[in-house]
Formats: sequence, C-alpha cells, structure tokens
Amino acid sequence: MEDIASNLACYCGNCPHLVVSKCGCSVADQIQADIQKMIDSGQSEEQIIQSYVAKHGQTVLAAPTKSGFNLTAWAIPFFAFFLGGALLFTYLKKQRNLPASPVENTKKPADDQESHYRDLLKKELEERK
Amino acid sequence: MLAEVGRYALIAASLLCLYSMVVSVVGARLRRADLVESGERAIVGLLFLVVFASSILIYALATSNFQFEYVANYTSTTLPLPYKLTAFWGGQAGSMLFWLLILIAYTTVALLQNQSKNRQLMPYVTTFLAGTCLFFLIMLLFAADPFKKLSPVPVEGQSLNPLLQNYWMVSHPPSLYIGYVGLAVPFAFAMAALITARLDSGWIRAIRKWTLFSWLFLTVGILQGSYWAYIELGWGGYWAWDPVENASLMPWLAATAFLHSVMIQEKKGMLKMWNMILVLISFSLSIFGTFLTRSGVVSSVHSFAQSPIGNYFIVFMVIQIGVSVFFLLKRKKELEPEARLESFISRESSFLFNNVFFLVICIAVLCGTVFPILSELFTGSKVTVSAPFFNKVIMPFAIGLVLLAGICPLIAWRKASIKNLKRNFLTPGIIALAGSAVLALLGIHHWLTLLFFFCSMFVLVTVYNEFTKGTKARMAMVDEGAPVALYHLVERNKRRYGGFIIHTGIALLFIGIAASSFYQLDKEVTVPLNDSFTIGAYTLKFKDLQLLRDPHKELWRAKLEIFKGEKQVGVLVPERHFYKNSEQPTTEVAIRPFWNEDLYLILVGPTESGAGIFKVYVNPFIGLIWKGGIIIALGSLIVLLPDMKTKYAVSTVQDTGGEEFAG
Repeated sequence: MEDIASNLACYCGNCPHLVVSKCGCSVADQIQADIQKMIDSGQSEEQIIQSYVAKHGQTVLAAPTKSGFNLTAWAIPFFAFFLGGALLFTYLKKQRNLPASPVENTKKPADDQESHYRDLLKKELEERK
Repeated sequence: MLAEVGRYALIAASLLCLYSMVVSVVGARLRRADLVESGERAIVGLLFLVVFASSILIYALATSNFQFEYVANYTSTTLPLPYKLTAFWGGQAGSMLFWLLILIAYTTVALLQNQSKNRQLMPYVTTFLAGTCLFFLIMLLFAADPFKKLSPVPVEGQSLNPLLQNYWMVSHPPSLYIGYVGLAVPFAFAMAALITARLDSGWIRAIRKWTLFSWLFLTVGILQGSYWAYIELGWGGYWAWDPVENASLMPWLAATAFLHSVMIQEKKGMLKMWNMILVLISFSLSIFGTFLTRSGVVSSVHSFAQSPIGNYFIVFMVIQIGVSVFFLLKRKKELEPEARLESFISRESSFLFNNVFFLVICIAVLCGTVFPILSELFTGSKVTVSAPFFNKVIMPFAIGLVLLAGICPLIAWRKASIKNLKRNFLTPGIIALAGSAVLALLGIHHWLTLLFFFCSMFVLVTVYNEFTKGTKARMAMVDEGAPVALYHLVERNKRRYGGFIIHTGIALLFIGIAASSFYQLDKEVTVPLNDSFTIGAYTLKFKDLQLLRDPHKELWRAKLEIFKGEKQVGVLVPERHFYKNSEQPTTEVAIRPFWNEDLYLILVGPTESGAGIFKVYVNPFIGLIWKGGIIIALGSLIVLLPDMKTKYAVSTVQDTGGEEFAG
C-alpha cells in the first residue's frame, strides 16, 4: 500500500504535487481508502496503478515512467555524471602529460600533515618578530 | 497623484541607468576618470530614486491606499500592519521592485567599497549592474506595474493569502532575495575582468566575500522556507521539490561549487576558465529561478499569476548569456592556468570532483523541474515530476558529496601519497563504521540510513581531528593553553576552520534528513473527547475542543496532553482556520520538539459527534536540520569576519605614513 501511495501524485490541486502517502488532504485519504479496497479485492500493485493512469492520465504518476521520451528525464543526470567524470578524467590525464615545471621537481609530495602546520606556525612566528 | 510620481521616479531611474551604462563604458575606453565617476554618481542617484519609489509603494500599503491596484490585491484594511508591509514582496510587481531595491543597494555598496581599488574593473562593474537594474526597470514599467491605478477605487482589498500571514513572511523572502540578487555582483566583476582582460586573482579576491555573503543568505533563506513549510503546510515534511523551491536550490548548488573551486584559483592560479563559467552559471540560474517563479511556466504553490513577464526574462537571459559567452571565448588565451594539476589524487582534483557532483545535482534538479514543459512540448502529453524522481536521482550524488566533504581535507595539495591517505582515512573510517554498527545494534537496519549516517560521521570525525591536531600543534609550539590555542587557530585561519564548521552543519543536516525521512511515524486517528491514542513512545489525550471566531476567520482549537508512560511531558494545541475570504482552510500545526524527535500534530477537523480527527507524526531528529543550518550560518559568519591583524596593519600604515612600518 505504501509503495503504491508513494508513487501516485495527489490530484487535490492544493499541495505542491505531493505523493498520496504524504499529502494530508481529504482527496488523498479517499485515494488511500480506495487503494486498500483494491488490494483487498486481490488486485496487484501494477493493476491498481494502471487503473489510476487509465482514469486520470499520466500526470497521476508521481514520477515519469522509464520508457519512451520520459526515459530522457532519468537518463540526463546520469549521462551528465558520466560526461563530467569523463571530462575531468581527460583533463587530469592531459595535465599529467604536460612537462613538469621546475618548482615541482624540487618539492616532495606532502607526506606529513603536521609539517604543514609547523610551516604555518613558523611563518606566523616570523611575522611576529 | 502619488502613483504617478512613483512611476515617474522609475522612468527617471531608467534614464539614469542608461546614462550610467554609457558614460561608464566611454569613461573606461577613453580613460576619463571624471566620466567614470559621473557614472558612479548616477548610481547613487538611482539609489535615491528607487528608494523613493519603494517608499511610495510601502506608504500606500501601510495606509491601505486602494487607488493602487497592488495595494488592493494584496492587503485589506483589517490586515495587521506588519503584513501590510510584507505585502511589498507578496505580489509580482512589488517583489520586482524589491529585487531592484536590493540590487541597487548592493551596487552602491560595491562602488563604495572599491573607491580606491580595482579601478580598472569598476566602470564595467557599474555597467553590468546598471544594465541588470535597467532590465528590472523595463519590466516594472511595461509588464508588472506596481503603480497601476484602479478606478473606481474599491472600498476593501483582497488581503494577503492567509498562508503568508506568518512570521516567516517577514524574513524568508528578504533573505532569499539578498542571496539571489547578491550573485549579480560576482557576475558583474567577472564580466569586468573578462572585458579588461585582468584575469588574475584580483577579481576573485574582490568578490570572494560577496559570494559567501550571498551564499549565506541564500542558504539561510532556503532553510527558513523549509522550516516555514514544515510548521505551516501541515504535511509533516519540509521540502516538496516544488519548482520554486528548486529555483532557489539551483543557484545555491552552483554557488557552492564556485566557493570551493575559487580556493584552487587563489592558491594555485588554476581553473580560471572554470571559475568564470561557474560564476556565470550561478547568476544565470539566479535569473532563471526568478523567471520560473514568475512566468507561470510551471505551476507551483508559490507562483504569482501567469504573466507575459516571462518573455522579458527570456530576452534578458539570451542577452546576458550571449554577452558572457562572447567575452569568455574572446579571453580564452588569458584564462590559461599558471600551474598544472599534478596528480589524479590531490586536493585540487577532489575539489573538481566535488564540482562535478554539485553540477550533476544541479542538472538533475533543472531537468526534473523543466521536464513537464519539455514533455508537453515534444510529446504533447503532460507528466508529473515530483519527489520520487528527485530523491532517487539525487540521492547517490548527495551521498557522494558528503563523503567527499570528509575525504577532501585528508588529501594533500598537489599530490597525496598512498601511505598518507591510508593513515588519514583509517581512523575516521573505523569510528564512522563503529558508530554505524552501534546504530544497527539499536535497531536501525535501513541500509540507506546507515550509509547517510556513516558519511556524516566520517565528516564529523575528520573535522574533530582537524581541530584537535591544529590546536595541539599550536600548543606545542607557542605555549598557549588549549582554549586560547583553539581561538587563535580559528582566528588565523578563518576560511579553513570556518569551512570545517560549515561542513559540520551539513553533516548534522544530512543525519536529520535521513532520520526524519526514513524513520518517520505517521498515523491518522478519529478520537472522541477525553479519549487517548498512541504513537511511538507517546500517548496523547484529547482534552478539549473549542470553536472561536474573529473578524477574519472561524477556527477550531483542540488541546491534547502528551504522556510518555505515566509522565506528562507537554501539551499540543493544533488549530484549523477557516478564513472568510479564502476557500482553503489553513492549519496551525502543533509541534512539540523533544531532543531526539518532533511530535507533530494536525487537527483535521471535528466529526459531527464532536470527536476529533487528527493526523500525527513523529519525526526523528528533524531538529538537526534546523540546528545544522544554524551551525552553517555561524561557520559562514566566521569566514566572513575581517582579519583584525590586517586591518590594524593597514590603518598603522595610513596613520604613520608608512615609515614606522618598516620594522
């Protein structure tokens, strides 16, 4: 029941497109009662959702389906992530293949966190003098 | 009469804007400081005109002058004065004037701050800010007139929407606007830097505190809005992925990414092009968000009425983005980095990774918000995109971000060694794991909650370690006691440690979100008078129900006593309001916060037999969201504080003419 109610958008028109399980209005309460009746009469989750779509259209689904044009909604963020990751990776690789500047070759990688603090402190103490 | 004066003030302001834009650019090109100064003085003139026009509207609101259509639409004679005043930003036209007022105030401050620095940049800063002001003035004059008159003059106004008659109407919109509008200043500086090709860290240093200041108000504004929704809307939650909520989140995400990557440019001279892009994106999203809220393109609980104002915004965005991209490409060469990224695993690369996450989340929010429009455009059929979409898509990236917040400070600049990493990760990792195990033993088995908790604990342990290591190092070298050492540690390194405090707030906020989302209890009950019902560890006894009336409304008020076992721990008084001039009843939620959860009670209404229908929720640790927000604000304030030492040194130089400073 929870699953079905969390995937249908309440159509009372008041709440900001809340799912039926969250919207506290009387319409949502009625929908939940109806869903319970349908569950008791043996209908499957799929059937119940489909019956709502048939009566109210696609907009009763709280999120777009993962098919057809709607798939782009789901795909875009993940595509963006892979694209971003790929761009970052390429950028980092290109950077590594650049000739190193003379400064880098004389310094060791920062192995010791404490030395970072000591350096900061030394600098401050010298400023104080 | 008054309305006409207001309108003339706006017309005069538009002319001043044009003048300022032209004279600033000409002055910059011809190197005529007098012209540039004239442009700046025009801005001050603008300030006076806009303040004047705003005062007229505010005065009309306060005196219920229904000659003004705006006053008639959003107030009534019986509306309490504070709400009459907040109606200034309650409607489309007024809120645009408010946007303009804040923008011109910001512009004036930016000019005053930079009287003797960044002089090459300032003429263009003036131009871009004045240009944005001009855009809003055009909209005010042609699409959303706050000074429109009504004839015949109505006797009574339509009053403010009851949902808005609430303390948060006083502080939430202004905070948000200060945040949104504030992003215009970094944008103007970025454009000025591009045009003058002064692309070193100068412009970044000029805008760093501006950006943080806007970010702070945007963060606090968003959290206030969430809190308001929580206590007012009565569905037990605080964020609905409503388009207008999303419109405020998107610039926030871009601005947060910018705040981080800016640190790399300042330290290493890298990512110049990327920082430019981020600033442009942040401001564009701010304008886009303003557009979304007002054009009626997407339906929302927040929206102002449908209006042709959308077209004006589209034109502005096209011009703004077009000009930005043009100069960005023109200066491609000058935006090349001074150093190179040396390693895949370095603080620089982890900051970049953080940026990827922030922008992916931003794209996800944008995608979900505009998808209904796209769907209707391309397929003709409407779809709903709401919480299930946003939560599912964004969650993995949000988790990744929190984890990064914990990991990043452990990774050294330039290049981290594996030995270093292993050592630094081990302790926080083990403690966070142990903490999660304890939670599991206490009965929390939802894997996602445990994962959220693990990530947040990792951050908290890392931050704790940073503070203790730093304080100990200081104590060892400078012979200070722990509290003094800690104070100096933070004071000398406000950005670093203020940032850690902000991260702490974020970690707590995250735990609050997880606990209240995944372990919420809810129940609907119908209970006769003097009967009780239970939820979680609480028993609530329905003691009283009254029907009250006042000039505006009729209301039902219930009184319930809260018991934990035998002991009474509080009283809840929920109400249901039925306003005379509104169809929708509003609910006054009764909330009793405990240290570990909120008891949240809504009165739905009475039955015929006098029993009460209630909806009750238990929200575990939801308070951490607001408390985390306060910690974020405190951390930001610490970072924003000026460096006392520098100020003293500067004033010493000025006083003594520099001679005594030579030691």
